[in-house]
Amino acid sequence: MADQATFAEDAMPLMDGLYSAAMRMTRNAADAEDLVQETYLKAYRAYERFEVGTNLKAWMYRILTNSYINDYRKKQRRPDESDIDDVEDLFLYRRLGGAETATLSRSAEDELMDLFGEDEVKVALEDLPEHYRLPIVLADVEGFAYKEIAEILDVPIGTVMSRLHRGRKQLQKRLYAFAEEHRLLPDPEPVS
Amino acid sequence: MTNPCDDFDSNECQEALLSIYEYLDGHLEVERRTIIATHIEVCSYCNDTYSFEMHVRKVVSTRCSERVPPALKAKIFDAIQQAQLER
Repeated sequence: MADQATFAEDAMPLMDGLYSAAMRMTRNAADAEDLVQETYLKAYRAYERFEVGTNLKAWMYRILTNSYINDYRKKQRRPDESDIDDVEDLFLYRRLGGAETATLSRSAEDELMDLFGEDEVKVALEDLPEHYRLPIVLADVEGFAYKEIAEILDVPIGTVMSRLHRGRKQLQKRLYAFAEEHRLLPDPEPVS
Repeated sequence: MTNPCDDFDSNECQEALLSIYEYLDGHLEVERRTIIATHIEVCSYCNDTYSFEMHVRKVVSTRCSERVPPALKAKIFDAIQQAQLER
Protein backbone atom coordinates (compact mmCIF):
# COMPACT_ATOMS: atom_id res chain seq x y z
CA MET A 1 0.00 0.00 0.00
CA ALA A 2 1.15 3.50 -0.76
CA ASP A 3 2.66 5.81 1.85
CA GLN A 4 0.90 9.15 2.25
CA ALA A 5 4.28 10.75 2.96
CA THR A 6 5.34 10.21 -0.68
CA PHE A 7 2.03 11.36 -2.17
CA ALA A 8 3.15 14.87 -3.12
CA GLU A 9 6.31 13.59 -4.75
CA ASP A 10 4.44 10.87 -6.64
CA ALA A 11 1.39 12.83 -7.75
CA MET A 12 2.51 16.45 -8.24
CA PRO A 13 4.15 15.70 -11.63
CA LEU A 14 0.73 14.71 -12.99
CA MET A 15 -0.83 18.08 -12.28
CA ASP A 16 -0.41 19.76 -15.71
CA GLY A 17 -2.25 16.90 -17.37
CA LEU A 18 -4.99 16.77 -14.75
CA TYR A 19 -5.47 20.51 -15.02
CA SER A 20 -5.71 20.31 -18.84
CA ALA A 21 -8.33 17.58 -18.55
CA ALA A 22 -10.21 19.54 -15.86
CA MET A 23 -10.28 22.59 -18.14
CA ARG A 24 -11.83 20.60 -20.96
CA MET A 25 -14.33 19.04 -18.57
CA THR A 26 -15.53 22.14 -16.74
CA ARG A 27 -14.79 24.62 -19.54
CA ASN A 28 -13.77 27.35 -17.15
CA ALA A 29 -10.64 28.04 -15.14
CA ALA A 30 -12.25 28.66 -11.74
CA ASP A 31 -14.09 25.31 -11.72
CA ALA A 32 -11.05 23.54 -13.16
CA GLU A 33 -8.86 24.85 -10.34
CA ASP A 34 -11.36 23.75 -7.69
CA LEU A 35 -11.73 20.38 -9.34
CA VAL A 36 -7.98 19.74 -9.45
CA GLN A 37 -7.56 20.79 -5.84
CA GLU A 38 -10.44 18.57 -4.74
CA THR A 39 -8.96 15.68 -6.73
CA TYR A 40 -5.58 16.00 -5.01
CA LEU A 41 -7.06 16.20 -1.53
CA LYS A 42 -9.34 13.21 -2.13
CA ALA A 43 -6.42 11.27 -3.60
CA TYR A 44 -4.21 12.17 -0.65
CA ARG A 45 -6.82 10.93 1.81
CA ALA A 46 -7.30 7.71 -0.16
CA TYR A 47 -3.63 7.18 -0.91
CA GLU A 48 -3.16 4.48 1.68
CA ARG A 49 -5.60 2.40 -0.34
CA PHE A 50 -3.66 2.91 -3.58
CA GLU A 51 -1.72 -0.18 -4.51
CA VAL A 52 1.92 0.67 -5.24
CA GLY A 53 3.02 -0.49 -8.68
CA THR A 54 -0.41 -0.08 -10.26
CA ASN A 55 -1.27 2.82 -12.53
CA LEU A 56 -1.15 6.02 -10.46
CA LYS A 57 -1.93 8.24 -13.43
CA ALA A 58 -5.12 6.30 -14.29
CA TRP A 59 -6.09 6.25 -10.60
CA MET A 60 -5.78 10.05 -10.35
CA TYR A 61 -7.79 10.59 -13.54
CA ARG A 62 -10.48 8.30 -12.23
CA ILE A 63 -10.79 10.43 -9.09
CA LEU A 64 -10.84 13.55 -11.25
CA THR A 65 -13.56 12.14 -13.50
CA ASN A 66 -15.72 10.94 -10.63
CA SER A 67 -15.40 14.28 -8.83
CA TYR A 68 -16.35 16.08 -12.01
CA ILE A 69 -19.38 13.87 -12.65
CA ASN A 70 -20.59 13.97 -9.06
CA ASP A 71 -19.88 17.57 -8.08
CA TYR A 72 -19.46 19.75 -11.14
CA ARG A 73 -21.56 18.44 -13.95
CA LYS A 74 -24.74 19.40 -12.15
CA LYS A 75 -23.95 23.07 -12.38
CA GLN A 76 -22.77 23.09 -15.99
CA ARG A 77 -24.39 25.72 -18.11
CA ARG A 78 -25.59 23.49 -20.95
CA PRO A 79 -27.52 20.24 -20.94
CA ASP A 80 -24.86 18.12 -22.45
CA GLU A 81 -26.23 14.79 -23.52
CA SER A 82 -27.42 15.73 -26.98
CA ASP A 83 -26.25 13.31 -29.62
CA ILE A 84 -24.14 14.13 -32.64
CA ASP A 85 -24.80 13.45 -36.27
CA ASP A 86 -22.70 10.88 -38.05
CA VAL A 87 -19.74 12.21 -40.00
CA GLU A 88 -17.89 10.42 -42.79
CA ASP A 89 -14.52 8.86 -42.00
CA LEU A 90 -11.38 10.93 -42.58
CA PHE A 91 -13.43 14.11 -42.80
CA LEU A 92 -10.55 16.59 -42.72
CA TYR A 93 -8.23 14.49 -44.83
CA ARG A 94 -10.78 14.37 -47.63
CA ARG A 95 -10.93 18.15 -47.60
CA LEU A 96 -7.44 19.25 -46.70
CA GLY A 97 -5.08 16.36 -47.29
CA GLY A 98 -4.07 14.08 -50.11
CA ALA A 99 -2.10 14.53 -53.26
CA GLU A 100 -5.20 15.35 -55.30
CA THR A 101 -6.28 18.40 -53.38
CA ALA A 102 -2.73 19.57 -52.56
CA THR A 103 -4.04 22.54 -50.62
CA LEU A 104 -1.40 21.85 -48.01
CA SER A 105 2.00 22.39 -49.50
CA ARG A 106 4.54 22.44 -46.71
CA SER A 107 4.67 20.15 -43.70
CA ALA A 108 1.09 19.11 -43.06
CA GLU A 109 1.60 19.39 -39.34
CA ASP A 110 2.83 22.99 -39.54
CA GLU A 111 -0.03 23.88 -41.86
CA LEU A 112 -2.57 22.38 -39.51
CA MET A 113 -0.99 24.11 -36.52
CA ASP A 114 -1.28 27.44 -38.36
CA LEU A 115 -4.82 26.73 -39.40
CA PHE A 116 -6.11 25.69 -36.01
CA GLY A 117 -4.99 27.85 -33.13
CA GLU A 118 -5.37 27.15 -29.45
CA ASP A 119 -8.78 28.77 -29.04
CA GLU A 120 -10.28 27.08 -32.08
CA VAL A 121 -9.26 23.59 -31.06
CA LYS A 122 -10.34 24.12 -27.46
CA VAL A 123 -13.72 25.50 -28.44
CA ALA A 124 -14.30 22.72 -30.98
CA LEU A 125 -13.49 20.10 -28.35
CA GLU A 126 -15.42 21.75 -25.55
CA ASP A 127 -18.52 21.99 -27.73
CA LEU A 128 -18.67 18.22 -28.12
CA PRO A 129 -21.17 16.41 -25.90
CA GLU A 130 -19.46 15.15 -22.79
CA HIS A 131 -19.63 11.42 -23.54
CA TYR A 132 -17.60 12.07 -26.69
CA ARG A 133 -15.41 14.80 -25.24
CA LEU A 134 -14.07 12.89 -22.24
CA PRO A 135 -12.76 9.86 -24.18
CA ILE A 136 -11.03 12.20 -26.68
CA VAL A 137 -9.37 14.20 -23.90
CA LEU A 138 -8.17 11.00 -22.24
CA ALA A 139 -6.95 9.38 -25.47
CA ASP A 140 -5.65 12.21 -27.60
CA VAL A 141 -4.52 14.76 -25.02
CA GLU A 142 -3.57 12.56 -22.06
CA GLY A 143 -2.43 9.50 -24.02
CA PHE A 144 -4.41 6.76 -22.28
CA ALA A 145 -5.07 3.36 -23.88
CA TYR A 146 -8.63 2.10 -24.53
CA LYS A 147 -8.50 -0.19 -21.53
CA GLU A 148 -7.42 2.58 -19.18
CA ILE A 149 -10.11 4.92 -20.51
CA ALA A 150 -12.70 2.18 -20.00
CA GLU A 151 -11.61 1.90 -16.37
CA ILE A 152 -11.45 5.64 -15.78
CA LEU A 153 -14.90 6.26 -17.25
CA ASP A 154 -16.34 2.94 -16.08
CA VAL A 155 -17.72 1.95 -19.50
CA PRO A 156 -16.95 -1.09 -21.71
CA ILE A 157 -13.97 -0.90 -24.10
CA GLY A 158 -16.28 -1.18 -27.12
CA THR A 159 -18.12 1.92 -25.94
CA VAL A 160 -14.83 3.79 -25.58
CA MET A 161 -13.86 2.84 -29.13
CA SER A 162 -17.15 3.84 -30.71
CA ARG A 163 -17.30 7.14 -28.83
CA LEU A 164 -13.73 7.96 -29.79
CA HIS A 165 -14.46 7.10 -33.39
CA ARG A 166 -17.59 9.22 -33.65
CA GLY A 167 -16.26 12.01 -31.48
CA ARG A 168 -13.03 12.45 -33.41
CA LYS A 169 -14.88 12.67 -36.71
CA GLN A 170 -17.25 15.23 -35.26
CA LEU A 171 -14.30 17.20 -33.92
CA GLN A 172 -12.76 17.26 -37.40
CA LYS A 173 -16.02 18.46 -38.88
CA ARG A 174 -16.22 21.30 -36.39
CA LEU A 175 -12.62 22.30 -37.00
CA TYR A 176 -13.26 22.39 -40.71
CA ALA A 177 -16.45 24.40 -40.30
CA PHE A 178 -14.54 26.89 -38.21
CA ALA A 179 -11.77 27.27 -40.79
CA GLU A 180 -14.31 27.65 -43.55
CA GLU A 181 -16.34 30.21 -41.66
CA HIS A 182 -13.31 32.34 -40.98
CA ARG A 183 -12.00 31.89 -44.53
CA LEU A 184 -8.78 30.41 -43.25
CA LEU A 185 -8.54 27.74 -45.91
CA PRO A 186 -5.86 28.24 -48.54
CA ASP A 187 -7.08 28.82 -52.09
CA PRO A 188 -6.83 25.75 -54.27
CA GLU A 189 -3.86 25.72 -56.63
CA PRO A 190 -4.78 27.45 -59.88
CA VAL A 191 -5.09 24.99 -62.75
CA SER A 192 -2.60 25.90 -65.45
CA MET B 1 5.48 4.13 -60.01
CA THR B 2 5.49 0.96 -58.01
CA ASN B 3 2.58 2.00 -55.87
CA PRO B 4 0.25 -1.01 -55.74
CA CYS B 5 -2.56 1.23 -54.66
CA ASP B 6 -3.09 3.55 -57.57
CA ASP B 7 -6.62 2.53 -56.93
CA PHE B 8 -7.46 4.09 -53.57
CA ASP B 9 -10.41 1.73 -53.32
CA SER B 10 -8.40 -1.49 -53.50
CA ASN B 11 -9.12 -4.11 -50.87
CA GLU B 12 -5.81 -3.60 -49.16
CA CYS B 13 -6.45 0.12 -48.87
CA GLN B 14 -9.96 -0.45 -47.62
CA GLU B 15 -8.55 -2.75 -44.94
CA ALA B 16 -5.89 -0.25 -43.97
CA LEU B 17 -8.34 2.64 -43.73
CA LEU B 18 -10.78 0.58 -41.73
CA SER B 19 -8.06 -0.07 -39.15
CA ILE B 20 -6.61 3.41 -39.08
CA TYR B 21 -7.90 4.50 -35.67
CA GLU B 22 -7.10 1.25 -33.92
CA TYR B 23 -3.68 1.23 -35.52
CA LEU B 24 -2.88 4.76 -34.46
CA ASP B 25 -4.22 4.03 -30.99
CA GLY B 26 -1.81 1.09 -30.75
CA HIS B 27 -4.67 -1.30 -30.33
CA LEU B 28 -4.17 -3.84 -33.13
CA GLU B 29 -2.77 -7.26 -32.43
CA VAL B 30 0.68 -7.96 -33.85
CA GLU B 31 -0.40 -9.78 -36.99
CA ARG B 32 -2.86 -7.13 -38.22
CA ARG B 33 -0.46 -4.44 -37.16
CA THR B 34 2.34 -5.91 -39.26
CA ILE B 35 0.09 -6.24 -42.32
CA ILE B 36 -0.99 -2.61 -42.03
CA ALA B 37 2.53 -1.35 -41.35
CA THR B 38 3.78 -3.12 -44.47
CA HIS B 39 0.93 -1.73 -46.51
CA ILE B 40 1.35 1.90 -45.50
CA GLU B 41 5.04 1.59 -46.22
CA VAL B 42 4.39 0.86 -49.89
CA CYS B 43 1.12 2.69 -50.45
CA SER B 44 1.55 6.43 -50.66
CA TYR B 45 -2.19 7.11 -50.44
CA CYS B 46 -2.60 5.25 -47.19
CA ASN B 47 0.68 6.61 -45.94
CA ASP B 48 -0.59 10.16 -46.55
CA THR B 49 -3.84 9.39 -44.82
CA TYR B 50 -2.18 7.87 -41.80
CA SER B 51 0.27 10.76 -41.44
CA PHE B 52 -2.50 13.28 -41.82
CA GLU B 53 -4.55 11.71 -39.02
CA MET B 54 -1.44 11.64 -36.84
CA HIS B 55 -0.87 15.33 -37.50
CA VAL B 56 -4.45 16.21 -36.60
CA ARG B 57 -4.06 14.37 -33.31
CA LYS B 58 -0.78 16.11 -32.62
CA VAL B 59 -2.45 19.48 -33.20
CA VAL B 60 -5.33 18.61 -30.84
CA SER B 61 -2.96 17.38 -28.16
CA THR B 62 -0.61 20.38 -28.43
CA ARG B 63 -3.40 22.93 -28.52
CA CYS B 64 -5.19 21.45 -25.51
CA SER B 65 -2.21 20.87 -23.21
CA GLU B 66 -2.08 23.43 -20.45
CA ARG B 67 0.30 24.29 -17.66
CA VAL B 68 -1.22 24.41 -14.23
CA PRO B 69 -1.13 27.97 -12.82
CA PRO B 70 1.83 28.17 -10.37
CA ALA B 71 -0.41 29.66 -7.67
CA LEU B 72 -2.71 26.63 -7.81
CA LYS B 73 0.23 24.26 -7.68
CA ALA B 74 1.56 26.01 -4.57
CA LYS B 75 -1.87 26.04 -2.96
CA ILE B 76 -2.34 22.30 -3.46
CA PHE B 77 1.16 21.55 -2.26
CA ASP B 78 0.53 23.59 0.91
CA ALA B 79 -2.82 21.88 1.47
CA ILE B 80 -1.16 18.46 1.30
CA GLN B 81 1.61 19.56 3.68
CA GLN B 82 -1.03 20.88 6.06
CA ALA B 83 -2.99 17.60 5.88
CA GLN B 84 0.23 15.73 6.65
CA LEU B 85 0.91 17.84 9.73
CA GLU B 86 -2.59 17.16 10.97
CA ARG B 87 -2.26 13.41 10.80
